[in-house]
Amino acid sequence: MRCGLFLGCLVPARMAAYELSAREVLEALGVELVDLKAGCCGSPYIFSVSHRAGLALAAYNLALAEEAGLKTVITLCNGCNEVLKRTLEALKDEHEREAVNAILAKVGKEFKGEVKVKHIVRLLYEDIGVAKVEEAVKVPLEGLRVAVHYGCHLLRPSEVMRFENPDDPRSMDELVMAVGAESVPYVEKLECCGFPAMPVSEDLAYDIAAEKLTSMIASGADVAVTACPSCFLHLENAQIVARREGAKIRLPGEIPVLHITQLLGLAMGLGPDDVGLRENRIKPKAVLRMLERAGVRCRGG
Amino acid sequence: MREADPKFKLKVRQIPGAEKLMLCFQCGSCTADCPVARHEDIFRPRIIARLAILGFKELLFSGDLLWLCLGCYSCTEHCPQGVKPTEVIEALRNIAVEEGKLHPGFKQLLDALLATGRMYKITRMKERARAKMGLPPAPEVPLEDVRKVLDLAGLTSILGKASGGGEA
Repeated sequence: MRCGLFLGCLVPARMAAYELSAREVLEALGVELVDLKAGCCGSPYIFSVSHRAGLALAAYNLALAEEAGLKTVITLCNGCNEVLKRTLEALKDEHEREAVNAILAKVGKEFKGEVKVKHIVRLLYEDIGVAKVEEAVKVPLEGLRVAVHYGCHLLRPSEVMRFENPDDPRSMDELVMAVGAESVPYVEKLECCGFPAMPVSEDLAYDIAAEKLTSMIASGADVAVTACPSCFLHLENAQIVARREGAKIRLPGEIPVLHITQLLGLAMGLGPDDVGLRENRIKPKAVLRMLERAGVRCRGG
Repeated sequence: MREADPKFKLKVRQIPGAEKLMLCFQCGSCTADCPVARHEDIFRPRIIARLAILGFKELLFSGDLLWLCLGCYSCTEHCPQGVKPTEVIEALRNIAVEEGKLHPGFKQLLDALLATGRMYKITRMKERARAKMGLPPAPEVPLEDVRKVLDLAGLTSILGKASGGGEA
């Protein structure tokens, strides 16, 4: 399977471990990635300022993929996923597509609408399949308790995503169970991480994260698993912030955050350095103990 | 008493996603689902919809109100009338921006996008760390194209106006 990789900004700027583990896992599962020479998706923020600009930039990025002869573009980020998918949806309207293509024509590009956009979770779940992931597991993480965080724009708005029931998603839970771990229920499971409020109110953004993290910690989970660089960054940052003296948020403990591809990769036999575990600021001790028991060298962790 | 503009709703309804604003029957499902409403007393999607229908523009555009929405779409999923409150708030932001009321936090991110093609900067240190991990260099942004596309789509002029005019 050959897919374009749309990295966006936050992954290359902050989340090298996510990119590294995603590349390793997809390669091991037989996906050939073609790197797209693109920058930012515009982020969902751009649509609050100008609809036209949001559509035009996303259509430009998608046109790059079409030009490269790619049928599918993979994103690692829920934000990029929302932007690109809502653009595909909006540009089904002929009027809108013509207006955007008139802009793209000035830089010698055309959006044809021939390309599909898939979040990596969706690729793993729908195209590769849970069974194939399960077959690839070499170090089953049995007994590991995972708090799954879907984030918003993998599922919502469901009218655009057309993926899973946004009130009862299964994909990430099943991927976690495929490596032998347990997905634990928790009250705030489907809530937003709070990151999008950062440019307006950091207090609000961290309050929302604290509510989510408190619920995760109360569930007794050993690790939280995310599939979006913004969610990961925010759920980890909030815990670092809470450590400070006089911090406005308080947490009943800490919970390490892992990118879903780190969890899958480690279970598939990749070493801690192969999934960039040094980048994780809260070490997933429960996972490292399991790996050590299985005879994996964990110096990097 | 603030002035209500009875034609305001017509303008909001024209923006993609906000077409069904007038179907709101004020049940409050949106507010019940809203993660922001739990923490911010002023933020109630139900009231925002009401103010938009009645045309209380000044109240809507005051302070950070509209900019507190996370865009999580929980309200959109659960609105029994299909009003799409997240999209309505996005439409209201578009109108606020037209009037020069772009939130400075949003402006900063979009200025960076226009200047560099990215919202989040990839530092030299990060590039070195990437290389050490065996990752290829971060993709180079086709900056000239990106800026031209954003310029033609009107973003440059919107951002210019926002810096000249008053900020939210």
